[in-house]
Amino acid sequence: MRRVSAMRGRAIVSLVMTAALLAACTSDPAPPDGSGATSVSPAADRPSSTASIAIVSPKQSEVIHGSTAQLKAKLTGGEIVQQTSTDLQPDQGHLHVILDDHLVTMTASTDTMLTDLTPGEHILEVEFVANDHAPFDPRVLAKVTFEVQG
Amino acid sequence: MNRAWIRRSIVVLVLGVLPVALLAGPATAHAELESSDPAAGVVLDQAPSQVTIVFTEPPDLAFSAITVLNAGGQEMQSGPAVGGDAPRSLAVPLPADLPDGVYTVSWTVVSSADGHASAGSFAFGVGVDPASVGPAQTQQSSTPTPSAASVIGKAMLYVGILLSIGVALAGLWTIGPAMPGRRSIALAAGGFAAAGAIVMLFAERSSLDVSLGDLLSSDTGRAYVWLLGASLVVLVAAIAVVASPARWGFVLLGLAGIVTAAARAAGGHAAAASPAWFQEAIQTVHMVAASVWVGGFVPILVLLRARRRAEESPPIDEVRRFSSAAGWAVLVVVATGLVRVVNEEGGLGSVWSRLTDSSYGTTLIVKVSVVVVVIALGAWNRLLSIPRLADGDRLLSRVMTAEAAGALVIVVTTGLLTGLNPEPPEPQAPSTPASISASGSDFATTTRIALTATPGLAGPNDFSADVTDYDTGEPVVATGVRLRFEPVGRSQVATSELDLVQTGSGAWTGSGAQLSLAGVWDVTAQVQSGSSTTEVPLVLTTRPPGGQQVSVASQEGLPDIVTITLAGGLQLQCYVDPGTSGGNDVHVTAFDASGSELPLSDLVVVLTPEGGDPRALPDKRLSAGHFSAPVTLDAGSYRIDVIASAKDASILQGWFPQDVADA
Repeated sequence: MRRVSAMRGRAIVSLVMTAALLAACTSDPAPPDGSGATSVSPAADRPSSTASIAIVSPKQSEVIHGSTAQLKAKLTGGEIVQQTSTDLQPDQGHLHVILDDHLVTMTASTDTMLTDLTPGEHILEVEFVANDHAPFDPRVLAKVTFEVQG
Repeated sequence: MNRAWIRRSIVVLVLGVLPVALLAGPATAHAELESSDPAAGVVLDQAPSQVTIVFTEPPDLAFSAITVLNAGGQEMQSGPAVGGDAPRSLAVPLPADLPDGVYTVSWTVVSSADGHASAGSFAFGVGVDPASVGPAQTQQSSTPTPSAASVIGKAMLYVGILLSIGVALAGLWTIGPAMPGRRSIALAAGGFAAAGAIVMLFAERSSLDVSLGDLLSSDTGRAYVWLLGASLVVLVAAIAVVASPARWGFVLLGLAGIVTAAARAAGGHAAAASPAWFQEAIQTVHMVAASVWVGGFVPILVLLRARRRAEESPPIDEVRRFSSAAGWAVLVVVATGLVRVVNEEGGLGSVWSRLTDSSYGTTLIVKVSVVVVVIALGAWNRLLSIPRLADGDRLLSRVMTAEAAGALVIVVTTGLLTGLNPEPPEPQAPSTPASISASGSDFATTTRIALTATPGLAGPNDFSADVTDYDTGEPVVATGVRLRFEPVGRSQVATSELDLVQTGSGAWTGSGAQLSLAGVWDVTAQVQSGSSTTEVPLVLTTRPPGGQQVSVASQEGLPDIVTITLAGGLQLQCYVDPGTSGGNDVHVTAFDASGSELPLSDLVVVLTPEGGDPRALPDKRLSAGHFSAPVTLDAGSYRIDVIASAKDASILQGWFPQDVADA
C-alpha cells in the first residue's frame, strides 16, 4: 500500500507539472502609451470666494447612535446655485460632502442626511465649491470628527 | 496476444470506426456565432431596427445577452435580448434614431446543449466610410478557460464512474462478490461520483454567476439535475455493496455507473452534435468501456496485495479474466474515442489542423499520448507480467500501479478537455500616419514585441508587430502571432482577436476594427513557435481624434485643476483631490463649447501607474456631467485617461499626467 501511495503521489506531481506546461507564462506589462497630441500650459488661478461655511451638526466629537446622521451646514456670504458651468462667481456654488476622505454626495441644500454610517470614528468635511465643481482658493471648507455607535 | 488477435483488432477498428467517423456529423461544442444581421463589417445606409445573431447551438436565454455600443462605449440597444425568429437566434432592438457611426456588437451566450459559455464581438457601420469599419470577417469569439473547480469536479465524477463499473464487474465476474477491499472501493466510487457531481454543479453556478435556483430551473441546469440524481443512485448502490456482498448490489452499482455516464454524456459536447443521441451513445459506450479497463485496476491490485500478504497463491484466473475483458475494452475505447475526436474536430479532413490550432487539441494530444503509454503497459503485462505471476513475481503489481497512475492523468485531462472549445478561433484575413504604439516583453524575458496601430483611432487600424529576441534583438522565428484585445473598464465587451501575417523576418501585420471603442485596451500578443506559445502583455490607448490641449492650474493648498480642451471646444475638467498619497477622489466634469455642463451618458476613468497595469476606477455620478471616482494612491506618477459619451453620442476622450506626493 505504501508503494501504491508513492506511485499515486508521483502521479499527482506529474499532473501538476503537466497542467503548468499547458499554461502560458505572461507578465512584464508595457508602459502606457504616451502618444496623442498634447501640450500642457498653465491655467488661470482659481478664484477666491466671499463665502464661509460651518457644520452645525453633527457637532465636533458628538456620538451618534444608529446608522444615519443629520447634516446641517451654515453658509455665509454665498448662495447655492444648482447650475454647473465655467462661469465662476465668488459667491456662487454648491456643497460637496466628504466622509473619511471620499466624496459621498453633492448637494444644493445645507440640510441633508448621512446614511449607511458604520460604527467608529468618522471625519466629515463639507466644502463650498465653485459652479464648475472645483474648489475656490483658499478652499471654503469645514470639518468635524464624530463617532457612530451601533 | 498473438498475430491473429492483432489482425482481428485492426479489422474491427477499420471496419467499425471509419464508416461511423465519416458519416457522423461534426459537433460544434459551445455556441458560436453562425451568422448575424447586420453582418460583421457591413456598412448600412440606414440604421437597422434590431441586431439578430444566429448561433451554432441553442442559447439559454436566461444566461445570454447582446450589447450594442457606440464608439464611445455607450450602450445603444433599447431592450434586452429575446429569442429571434430563426432557430438558435437572439435579437436586440435598436432605437429608431440611431445616429451614424461605427457600432460594436458584443455577445455572451451559454449553450443550453452543453452548458458552456462563449463570447464574441464584431463591428458594423451606419452611414460611414466603408473603410472605417474594417474587413468583413471581423467577428471574433472566445471561450473562458475551464475553472479549477470544474476540472476537479469532472475528474472526481469520472473516478466515481470508473470505480463503480469496475468494482461491479469485479464483483460479478472477474473476482467474485467476496473480493477483498469491496467496501472501501465501493464507498470511494459512490463518494467520488456524488461529490464530483456536486462540485461540477457549483462550479457551473460560479462560472455563470447566477443563483443555484436560477441554474437548476434553466435549460442548462436540467442536465445537472439528471447528473446529480444518477450520481446519488451510485452512492446508494455503493452503500448497498458495502452492507452486503449480494450480487444484486453489484448489479445496481454497475447500472447506476452506466446511467451516470449517460447523464454526463447528455450534458457534454456530445449533446451539441447532430444527431445528438448517436454521439451521446458513443460517448457513453466510451466511458463504460474505459471503466471496464481502467476501473478494474484497483480491485485487481487490491486482490494481488491481499493474496501476497496472506501468502496464498496468486490470483491467476482472476487476472486472466480481467486481462481478457480489458483487452476488448481497450479496442472499444480506441474505436469510440476515434469517432468522438473526428466528430469534435469537424470531420476527418480537419482533425490534424484543428488538433494543432487550439488548447483543446493540445490537451487531447497529451491525453492520447498517456493512453498509448497505458495501453503499452497493458500489453507488457499481458506478454510478460501475467506469465510470471505463477512464480510469485511482483512485476504485474508494479506495472499495474503505473497504469493506474497514468489513468489518473487521463481522468484529469478528460476533465479539462470537456471544458475546452474544440474549434480553434477563426483566422483573420489581413487587409495614417499618426499612430499609437506599445512595446513590452514576456515575464520570462525571452521575447520583445513592438506593436504599432495606425491611425490609432477608435475603429479600423493597421497593426504591425516586430517580434525580437529579448537579449540579442534578432528577429524571432515564429509560426504565428495573434493579438487579443480587451477594453479596460468595458466588461460588457467581449475580447476579440486578430491573427497577423508574417511580412518579413520578425515582422507581422494585420488589419481590423478590434480597437472599436475609444479608450485603453489590454492587448496580449501571443507568439507561437512550434508547440509553445509566449504571451506579451501590451497596452494601447486610442488617440483622441483632433488631439487635446491640456492646461493645469496649480496653487498651494489646492489640488491641480486640469482642463482638457478637445476638438469643437468641448472640455473635460479633472482634478485628483487631495492629490497626495492615501484616499483620493478623481473628479471629472464635462463642458460644452459654451461652458455649460455637458450631460454624459457614460464615463470610464482609467488609472495607469508608471510602469504598471491600467485599471478602470469605479465612478459615481454626482450630476448630469460630473462624476467622481474614489481611489487609494501611493506616491508616484500616474497617467489618467478619461473616456466619456455625451447624451448626443459625441465622444470625449483625453488624458493627463498626475504626480502624487507623500501626504
